[in-house]
Amino acid sequence: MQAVTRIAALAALALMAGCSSPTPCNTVRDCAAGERCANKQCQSIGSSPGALGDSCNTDQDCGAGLGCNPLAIGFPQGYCTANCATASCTAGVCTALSSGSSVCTVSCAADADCRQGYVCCPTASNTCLPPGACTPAACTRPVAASALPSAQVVSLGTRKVGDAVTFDVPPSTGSITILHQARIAGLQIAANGQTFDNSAVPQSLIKPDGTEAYHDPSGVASSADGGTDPSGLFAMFGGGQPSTAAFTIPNTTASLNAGLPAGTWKFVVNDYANECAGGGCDDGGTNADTYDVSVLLRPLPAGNNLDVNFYIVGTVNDNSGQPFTAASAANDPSAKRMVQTFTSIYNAASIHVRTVTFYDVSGAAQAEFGTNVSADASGPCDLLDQMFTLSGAHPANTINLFLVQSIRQSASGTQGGTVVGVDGSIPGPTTLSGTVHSGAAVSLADLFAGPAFCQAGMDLGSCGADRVAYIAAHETGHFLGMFHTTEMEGADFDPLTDTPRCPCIPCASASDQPKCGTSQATGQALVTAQRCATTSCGGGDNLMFWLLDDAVSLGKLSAMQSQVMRLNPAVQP
Amino acid sequence: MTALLIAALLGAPRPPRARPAAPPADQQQAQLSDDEVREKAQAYLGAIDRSATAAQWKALGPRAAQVLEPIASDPQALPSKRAMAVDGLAAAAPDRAAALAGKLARDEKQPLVVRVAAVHAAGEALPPQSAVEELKPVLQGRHAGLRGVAAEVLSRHGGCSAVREQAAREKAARPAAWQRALSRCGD
Repeated sequence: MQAVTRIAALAALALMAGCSSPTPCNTVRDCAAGERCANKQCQSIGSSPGALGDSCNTDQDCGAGLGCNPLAIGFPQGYCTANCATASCTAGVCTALSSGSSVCTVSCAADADCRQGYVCCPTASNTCLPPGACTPAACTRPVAASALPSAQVVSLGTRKVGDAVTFDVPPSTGSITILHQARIAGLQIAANGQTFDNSAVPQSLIKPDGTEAYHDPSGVASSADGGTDPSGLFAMFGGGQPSTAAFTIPNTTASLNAGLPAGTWKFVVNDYANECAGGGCDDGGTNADTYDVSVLLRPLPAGNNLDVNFYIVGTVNDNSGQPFTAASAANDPSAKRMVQTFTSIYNAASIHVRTVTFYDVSGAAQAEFGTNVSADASGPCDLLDQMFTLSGAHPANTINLFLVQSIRQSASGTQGGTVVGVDGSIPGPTTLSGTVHSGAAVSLADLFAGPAFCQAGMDLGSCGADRVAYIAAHETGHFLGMFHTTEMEGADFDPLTDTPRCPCIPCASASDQPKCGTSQATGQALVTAQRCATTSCGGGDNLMFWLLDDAVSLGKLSAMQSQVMRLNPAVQP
Repeated sequence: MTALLIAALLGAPRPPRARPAAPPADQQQAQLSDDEVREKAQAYLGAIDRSATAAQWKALGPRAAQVLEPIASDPQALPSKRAMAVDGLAAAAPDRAAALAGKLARDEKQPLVVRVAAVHAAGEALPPQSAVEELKPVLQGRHAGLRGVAAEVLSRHGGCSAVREQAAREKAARPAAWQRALSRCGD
């Protein structure tokens, strides 16, 4: 009886809906999302053959010569269009999306000309696009293929945030890397009056036994010094990974010890904008972003071989006064010394630097990126990330290090200053070349400073080549998943228990200790390498300590640091 | 949701975190001994991928110049360290930086990284009219990349007319630095 009543009620509602008069419209903007404006009336999908830019569910909903780009590839309520690679686009404009494809889009003069949920994008020749596809002009965000053998790559296709996906992990798997590469995704989110990168990260990663390996937000524990202590986590995500994101485990002591069980794993495709859609952010977020999703399964045993590419982006003269180029690098004493020192640092961690290749870049790339790049204007369309896409010219399973002259923090110029290195993300999108995070930048300003022929062991105080090598090794460590062992204030630590720590209390100076855990930049305490060179206050000599000290830094790496790096797919058998 | 999301965002290792407030900078300067000023300045000069902020340099006070000025001026010192010393000087002892920055920025024999830092320091430490005078030769100088850096700095420090003049002379396709500078100048 109850069922009959419910059916009758639903039928009545359907009749009412059918009898209601259509909403009048002048443009499609007057209609609800997913409706069309035809004959001055809002109409549902299927009521008429869709014109260019109309909503759709399937190709059949679109008029002759058009197909449907569905929500699954980033177009809310579908988008009747033509593939510019295979069809003509006489009624609209061929628009290259930053992920690489080119679609026929409808022209507009203002947002009011576009459907609900779409914007008139000035950087795409004034055409209607989803907001996440409207990126700055000249911004490229390629979706790249992994250089791993296909048997180690699980391609899960284009997925929308919120999709739950599964993948099978075979026995003796050493590491899992979940890759999100934006098809259509916004660059930033707004929360608490600030903007943040719209990082992509699995919302929930479930192991075969049903327990959670990671959840975002992760709820990392507070440290006694006012920061965070992630050592108890099974997996750690560092953030700062918009557009192209890599999540590689194991990267903590807990996951190194436990290993990665074989069986079916599950995760939810996600980015911060999707979390914002749940409420609480200033911009409301969106659950429409789409990503190319894949999983890299790196088998045991851990690897030993690392291939490195150096891109010479900054212009500089060598010690003989000649321009430093890829051709001259092979026989240049300073470049050779840099490679030798870089190699020796990684040899100590059982990682053999197998090949080192220098590449020149075009004059245009030198002009754009070579003099100065901003380290904290690090959005996917900013200079730093766009520079990393140059690695697409030489696709391979390599670490890509970009040698520039100057790297500065703070685009505003009101604070911060020179830094000597910056990574694309922690970890990097390993085995992918040409993405916005496929590398790290290193200043070559010191390469030819100091003696032309550095002698004996590593000399960070006066041998410029050694200093550049150390920075390059440090940034490579970040790419391979290493965090700073201890941060500047002695409050934040890496997630490994065998790296020596240097907590603010008791390691900061007596006058600094009352400031431990304070917030203002002027008031923060400081843990220097010199203060972190004892048994109880350690790590100052570690490669991944936050600073380089001529007298203390030795480039040390712990057993767990070595293990995390050797399980990264970039370190090969 | 916001709290959770922000907690996650702040879970990243580098962004600043919410913590109790610290004493004002001038009180801290007085509290630091000369040795502590030296120790902290040397540590900031070793930063790898996270620079000391202007506020942190300021907290060391003008005494930091005793450490920073000799390094900034020393042609034998490593260029990246010299550049950081120039940055620090501009924040901690702007009077000292004002005397040095323009000279370093214009000197074509200086390493490029030092000149870049000096251009920024001139913008920070000099009054707008002086900054324009000091940096105009850089804006019109031989190094195209440095011209772009000078354009960006001057666009923030009252030098838009000089930026526009030079932009008109730039023949080759202008890098993004020029676009940012002109955009800031309202063009």
